[in-house]
Amino acid sequence: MLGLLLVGLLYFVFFDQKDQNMINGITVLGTYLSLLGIVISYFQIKSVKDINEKTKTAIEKSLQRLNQLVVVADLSKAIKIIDEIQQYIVHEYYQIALIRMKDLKSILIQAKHNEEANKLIEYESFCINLNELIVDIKNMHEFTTGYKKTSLNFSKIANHLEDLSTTLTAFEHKLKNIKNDS
Amino acid sequence: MIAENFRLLIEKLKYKSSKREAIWAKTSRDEEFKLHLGKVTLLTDCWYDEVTFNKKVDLVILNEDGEKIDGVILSKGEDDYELLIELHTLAKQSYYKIDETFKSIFEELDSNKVIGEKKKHELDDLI
Repeated sequence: MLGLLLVGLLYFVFFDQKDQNMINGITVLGTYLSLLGIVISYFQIKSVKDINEKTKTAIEKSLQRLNQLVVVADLSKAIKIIDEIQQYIVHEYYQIALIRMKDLKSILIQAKHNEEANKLIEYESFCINLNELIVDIKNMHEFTTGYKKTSLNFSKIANHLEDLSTTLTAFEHKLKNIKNDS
Repeated sequence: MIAENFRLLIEKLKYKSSKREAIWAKTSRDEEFKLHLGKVTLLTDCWYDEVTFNKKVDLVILNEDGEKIDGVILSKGEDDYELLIELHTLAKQSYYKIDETFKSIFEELDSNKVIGEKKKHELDDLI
């Protein structure tokens, strides 16, 4: 409205009396409306861009949270599997223990390649624990197939599993706390 | 007869291990030792095979997901068995720090001081 008054004022100031006709008036008004349209479009585009960026950030945050929840669920599962494996080893069900160790390895490798998990995990100790599990799986496989029947130290495997359980429990708590804070 | 790349690998590992520049760790097998090299794990094991009644030694390469990339197994009497068993011995010596242990024992024995420790309460033996 203010702009319209300003344009009207300018029209009467800058245009000679003889040029102040309807056609020139419409031209000036049209120019003003065009400029106004451009300004409105600019603000609309800017607003849409801001909304898009906010939406993108919100989606990224949601995905990050979802990712964390998936990792927490996987870690809880992994800790339960470790308890299971230890029981199978105590009762000398080595072949079942081996199958569950392979399941555990699969979960841990997924966690290892998860970007969100990588930022929070005690990466070095996790990798050491995972490597011990990998070697223990190989040794257990060789033992169950009869390829290397002797010299397998089951108490050492149990110790490795216990260390892994400690690392995973600490990691799980860390993730849960982050979930509660956000 | 082992492949040339394996022979080279064993020689290089032996060289590094003899210079105390390789950190070997023990696995869940009594005579197996492992070494991390970037994304791979090297394992060397020595065992008595109850099927062939012969001593065997191996060197295995695992990737970071635990898959076996390559390996070599040799039985006593085969070509290159001695080469691989030397690496295994070096790995074992490195892990148990055998040379350092002997050195400290000899230092103690060569010194003029009394060796061994006396119990604080000799009466403990009588109880």
